[in-house]
Amino acid sequence: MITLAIDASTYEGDACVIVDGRVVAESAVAMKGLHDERLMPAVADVLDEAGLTTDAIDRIVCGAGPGSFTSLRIAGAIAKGIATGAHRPLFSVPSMALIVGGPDVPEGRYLAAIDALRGECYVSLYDRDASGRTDELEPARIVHAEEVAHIAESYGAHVISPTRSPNSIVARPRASAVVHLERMLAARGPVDVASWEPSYGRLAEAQVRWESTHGKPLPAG
Amino acid sequence: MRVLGIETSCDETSAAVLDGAGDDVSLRSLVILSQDVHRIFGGVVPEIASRAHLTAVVPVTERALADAGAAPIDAVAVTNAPGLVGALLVGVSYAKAFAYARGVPVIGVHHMEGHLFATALEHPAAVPPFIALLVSGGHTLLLDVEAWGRYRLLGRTRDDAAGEAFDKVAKLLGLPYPGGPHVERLAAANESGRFRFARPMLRRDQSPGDSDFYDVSFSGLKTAVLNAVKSADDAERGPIARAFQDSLIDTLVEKTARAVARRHRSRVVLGGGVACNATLVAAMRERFAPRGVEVFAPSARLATDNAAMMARAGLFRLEQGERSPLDLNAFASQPIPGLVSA
Repeated sequence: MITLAIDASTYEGDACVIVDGRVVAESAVAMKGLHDERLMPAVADVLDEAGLTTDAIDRIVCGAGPGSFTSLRIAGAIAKGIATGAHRPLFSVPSMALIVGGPDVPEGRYLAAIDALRGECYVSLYDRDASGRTDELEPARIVHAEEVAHIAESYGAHVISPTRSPNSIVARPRASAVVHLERMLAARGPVDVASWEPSYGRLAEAQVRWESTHGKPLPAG
Repeated sequence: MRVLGIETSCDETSAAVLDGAGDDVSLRSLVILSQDVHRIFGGVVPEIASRAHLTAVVPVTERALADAGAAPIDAVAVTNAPGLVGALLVGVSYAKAFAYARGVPVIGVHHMEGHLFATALEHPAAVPPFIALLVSGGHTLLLDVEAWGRYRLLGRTRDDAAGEAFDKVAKLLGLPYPGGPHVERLAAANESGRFRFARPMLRRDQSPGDSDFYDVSFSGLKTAVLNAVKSADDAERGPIARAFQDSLIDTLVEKTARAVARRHRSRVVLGGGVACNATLVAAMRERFAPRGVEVFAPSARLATDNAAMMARAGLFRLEQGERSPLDLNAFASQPIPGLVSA
């Protein structure tokens, strides 16, 4: 089984190739403030390093957020482009699972946290066992940043986050964490490539304002 | 060469396939999905547009490929500037990955260069040299197209684009967004003469060396409409719409006529959403027909944002030997490639 995994939920993007449960190539790139777009070159680089073309891939796995809107869309559009260009299935996993499932994270219960801006964080609860297998216990929700430590304590969980804060483990989403997410991938199954979109975590600001003014959801279309 | 074009610069998700070489081109398919949701907001909301592109880009592209038939594509052309960066990035990222997976080159194409090629897809004689007037919601450009890839910028708007002026005036007149068709309809139902607005940046004493000889400006015209609306009753909105459109069209026709005369061109090519305005096209034809100057305007489908024109401009760039690297990015603004100084 050959997997191409990518994630760009934070300001850092990640691409890796996994062959039969073993990470054979991985590359991280900055997603912000650059003149060029580097995630696609990183995808090509990891495939080159693995000595593979997209024809050899069995599936694509994309980090589904929440996180930075634009970065999520770049990763999502690349994942869709390869999935449709090479006729391969697309899977998605929560980006916070890619934090807890990453290398060098010890066994334990974790409250993964990602900055949601405006003094808020996305948090999600995970268990990671001795083999590294990572399972989601509670899906992502948005909370005040100052509540994160307290919420983690109430679960008996460690805080793990790309952002440095007291008593938290610093770790960013890693595409290679997909090696520890097989159970989750089997349970979720492939997504519909056309209609799939990341979990942005928030609605567009204009939509929030419109819905609050009109007291109803924005019509689709 | 068979080129897949992808366009996501604003609120249309579009894909197209064309076959061809040089100016001998056949459009095989064109799919355009317009995002109606922005009408509610009276303008395009970038984040909503970007999200919609991500869920539209695959079905739109697959439909275009299916409509074009089984032959494999040789390259992918994608709009990478100018436009809404978040929206452009969806098309650019998807196009790069799709091309990579298919083992074909990708070429980033300037949206306004696409508009220059749009009319030639329907009118084989709409080829250089010609004077181009590109009028849309985001741009108003007057160019001398000496050859494909060789463009002399003569004039541009100093403030609002022509389409933007239509949208803003529509709002002042209580008409829906996008305003162009509504203002045109209301103007057509009314006689001119009740109101008259000055023709902006248009004076007899201007000479070709003047910086405003070809440039236009619609912000003052919009303010004049605002003042007229304030002091008029509802029944006078029709005559105001007519006076506004007369002023805008007169200005565009006159500036284009200056370009035709000074650059000695025998063809005028219109492009952009405002080229859907039949009154503008008729006024251009009326002005230029006695001089033997042909006026070409694309159909509405090719005047507004579409991927067919991007595929056509991409074909030209590919035939020049150009290819984009995998780190191709999207840019909100960028000069048209091949621009020569006036």
